Amino acid sequence: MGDIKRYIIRRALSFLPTILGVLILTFIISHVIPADPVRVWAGGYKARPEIIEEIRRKYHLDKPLYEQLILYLRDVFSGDWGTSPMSKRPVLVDIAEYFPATVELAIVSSILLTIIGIPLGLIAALKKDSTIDHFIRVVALIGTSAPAFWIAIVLQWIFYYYLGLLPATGRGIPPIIRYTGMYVFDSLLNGSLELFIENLKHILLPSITLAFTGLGIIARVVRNTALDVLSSEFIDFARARGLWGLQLYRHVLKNALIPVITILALEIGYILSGAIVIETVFSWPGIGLYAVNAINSLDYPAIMGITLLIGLVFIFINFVTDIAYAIIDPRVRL
Amino acid sequence: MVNTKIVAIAIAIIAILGIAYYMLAGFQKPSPQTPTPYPSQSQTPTHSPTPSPTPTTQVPGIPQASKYIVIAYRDPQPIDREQLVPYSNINPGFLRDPVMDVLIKAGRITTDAEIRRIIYNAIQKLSNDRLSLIWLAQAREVRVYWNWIKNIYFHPTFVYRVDDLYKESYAPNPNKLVIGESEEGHSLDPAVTYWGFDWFIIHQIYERLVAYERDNVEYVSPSLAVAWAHNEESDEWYFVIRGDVVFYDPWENRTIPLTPNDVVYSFRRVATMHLDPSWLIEEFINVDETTVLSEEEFRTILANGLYTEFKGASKKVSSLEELLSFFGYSGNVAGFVKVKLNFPYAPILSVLATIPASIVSTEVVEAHGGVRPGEENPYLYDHPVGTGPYYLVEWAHRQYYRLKANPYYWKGRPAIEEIELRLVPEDSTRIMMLKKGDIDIALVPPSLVDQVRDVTLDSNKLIVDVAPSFWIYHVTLNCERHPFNNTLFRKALAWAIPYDIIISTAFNGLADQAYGVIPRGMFGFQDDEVTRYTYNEDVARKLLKESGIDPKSVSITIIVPQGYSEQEQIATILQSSWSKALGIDVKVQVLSRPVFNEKLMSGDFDVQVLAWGPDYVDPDDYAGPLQAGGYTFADVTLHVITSASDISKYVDTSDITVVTYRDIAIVISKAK
Repeated sequence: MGDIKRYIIRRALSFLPTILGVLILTFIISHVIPADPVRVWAGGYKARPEIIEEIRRKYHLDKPLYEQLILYLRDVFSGDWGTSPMSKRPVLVDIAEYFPATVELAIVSSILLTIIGIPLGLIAALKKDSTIDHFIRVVALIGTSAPAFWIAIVLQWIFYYYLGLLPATGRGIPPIIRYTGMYVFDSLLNGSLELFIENLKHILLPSITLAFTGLGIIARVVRNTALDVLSSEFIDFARARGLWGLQLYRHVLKNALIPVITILALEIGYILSGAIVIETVFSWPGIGLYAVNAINSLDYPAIMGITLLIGLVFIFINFVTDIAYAIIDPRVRL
Repeated sequence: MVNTKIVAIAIAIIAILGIAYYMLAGFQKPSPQTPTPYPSQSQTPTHSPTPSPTPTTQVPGIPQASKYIVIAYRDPQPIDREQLVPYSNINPGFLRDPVMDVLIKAGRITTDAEIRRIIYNAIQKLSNDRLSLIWLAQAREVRVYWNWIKNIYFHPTFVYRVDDLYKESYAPNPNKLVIGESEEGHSLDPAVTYWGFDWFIIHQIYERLVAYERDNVEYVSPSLAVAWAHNEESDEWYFVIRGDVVFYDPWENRTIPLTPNDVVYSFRRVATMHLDPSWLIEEFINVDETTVLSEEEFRTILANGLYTEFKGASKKVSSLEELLSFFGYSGNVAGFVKVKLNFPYAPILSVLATIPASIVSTEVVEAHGGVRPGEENPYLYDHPVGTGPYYLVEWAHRQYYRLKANPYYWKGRPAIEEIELRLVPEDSTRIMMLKKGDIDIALVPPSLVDQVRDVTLDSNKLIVDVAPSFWIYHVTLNCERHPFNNTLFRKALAWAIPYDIIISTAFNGLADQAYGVIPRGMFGFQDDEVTRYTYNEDVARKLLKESGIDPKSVSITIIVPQGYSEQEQIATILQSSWSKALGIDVKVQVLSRPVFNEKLMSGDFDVQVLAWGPDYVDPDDYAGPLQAGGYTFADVTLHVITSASDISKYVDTSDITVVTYRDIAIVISKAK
């Protein structure tokens, strides 16, 4: 496994230039927009000129662009991601509050995505051209084509308004001791089943909505790959050898997984960068809404912080994906 | 053989369309989205439009009147262009207007309610005629709540006090009030936040010297101050502080008595921190000369005579007993505070009822970071300690706030034990929760009103209350630019706007036409001597011709901020009506908020569409920022007389401006 170790080190070294590039690019773009955000930070057009000048000085906006960039980079690498003029808190504190909510959603959605999507795709492949196959493909079509907020509201309407089974909005109740910041997992770690169920109820609708939108793609990809694999020679050979049932399909699954990992990675990346629509409809306090508000008010420190975060997230996901490939597919040479 | 795939897809499409139709049928307004064609020429307007009825008469003679308000000014100086700040010392249309400035200053220094009223009536009239801003509509707010909520009212600054309400016992959750809100708050520190939503919550936790009783907008009532008086110049105000009031600190579970020092400390704190809302204090109050007075000091001052007004009555008092009995107060007193103003300002009481004037506990602030210039206090951000009816239990960001009844509240424990403010940014979800009864009160956008009509739960009804707000939507014309510097051209534009279509389309009918700078319902509003503009192509074209502007040479760009559908719709309607009626080329540009604000403040625009809302309930909060004329004066004085011959005693009569309202004439000129 020395290969993998060397691979990890090589990839780790390439983190830095990538992150730097992302930071510089976002910095330049967000700062050269011909607008003065300070007035927005000061509370709008009723703000007094003296207050605006002070804010400008505090955020170094009176200095030339390259100096601002250097100051910012210096701060980031020493752990100071700046203070958001809108929330008046350090950006890292804001992120530490909102990001776990997004992560939690991503994890539960991904789990749902995989445990529903993969079997659906497999069944569709195995029962090709049957009614079930068509039905599954229609469901997949709805999932990918219907707008996420529409699915969200429909689910709310069915499960909250009509059936009264699940809550419409909110994250639930934070457990007393915070381990990860994710309510569902923390309630388990706190040992409270009641809290766990309550929080699970809250996360169910938003994650089903997210899962539903990604379901389609996963199911289709699994179906297509499985079909390819099923028609390949080595499967015929395995069948000839007498393999059947789970033992046979294990092979099918392993091969089908590779493109699935790619899609899954993209889906998780998308969710982690903040599914804004879901967050709005379900009052889910993740970084999506935080990001949108930051952009609309040109909240420079928050924008940079979020960009950095998402950059890190994607780099991390890509990294894990590559490792996963290496593990699953011995053909992949690192 | 039937192709199952096609059948499956067909079924799916039909299902989707069916569900979509069902859902959209609930969402869509019955009226069409695009503006209906505007009235043709043949339609006769309800008021025959007289092109610009000039209320000001530049004549040597002075009209006959029952009363003359003579306003004398000294040394008028136009402010330098670089020093002009829109909404502060000049109106956002950059129209220089010394007469308006004189009136605004006069309105500020008078404490006589009747005279002030006349002055603002006149300002209203002029603003409707000057047209640096064209007044479109005053919006109405749609409040929706269940019938089990009693005693509800809505104050024009959107703030109601929950301790004024109660819930019937048959309500699903009689001890808890759940309010549906759409956006997250920014801070619970009254010295920091300038956002309406935060102000609502702070209003339940902190208190101020004075407050508006329920939905009264005419005068303030005692709150933490039980009585007040001022000197003759109205630049020194004295407050008697209520006794037996305590702050409740739920985090350390203790109470702290309110002292007059807390009042002074709170104002100084706001000024020192110098953050967004601090101008409301700093502009008017000299915090360094605002101090606590001992009873002896106060009595000495009183002995020389002070003036007080309350509920329309006024009196000169010379003893503490006289003052307290005028206010009908006989309880304990905690002390006395002198508030020194930077200049005589009659509406100071309204300002003292706003959130930035909230009283905080010196002890609590000093124990948690104190006061630092220009900086926020991280503790007070989410640990409010106030004297009000509720205290904060929890603030789950972007999800909800929970407040509980303050057991030590001086007016007695409120009827509703718990308040929960649920943050639901998505309108349809909020309406769902409202209809299910999980939310008691919510604001509903006018376009979705039809979804909440005739909703019942068991035997309960959802009440839809359409109430006037003070928000005035207006068009600002940049009078520094051609052709907006031409008064007749501005008037032509005003007569080419279909106000009724704007109201029916952009506001779903839930608005009233505005006739000037003062909103309906506010002190100083009048609509019996205003020009009632309507869409009239004949008049508009005639004015255009008289103005001498060639429509083909004009190209206008209207800018609106992103995210405000009313403004965008208004701009679209203006575009089509101005081009049809006047033959002008009009473009619409939607800009992101920061870019929009930049252009607004630097005067880099042709036309913009905005709405103005109240910080505090006083016509000066509208007249000042929206009509300031960019002049300064050495001083402005006011004299009320009944005989025209006395006018020359105070002012130079060779060059006067007269503004009349009903049978009163305001005469403005240089002081003698």
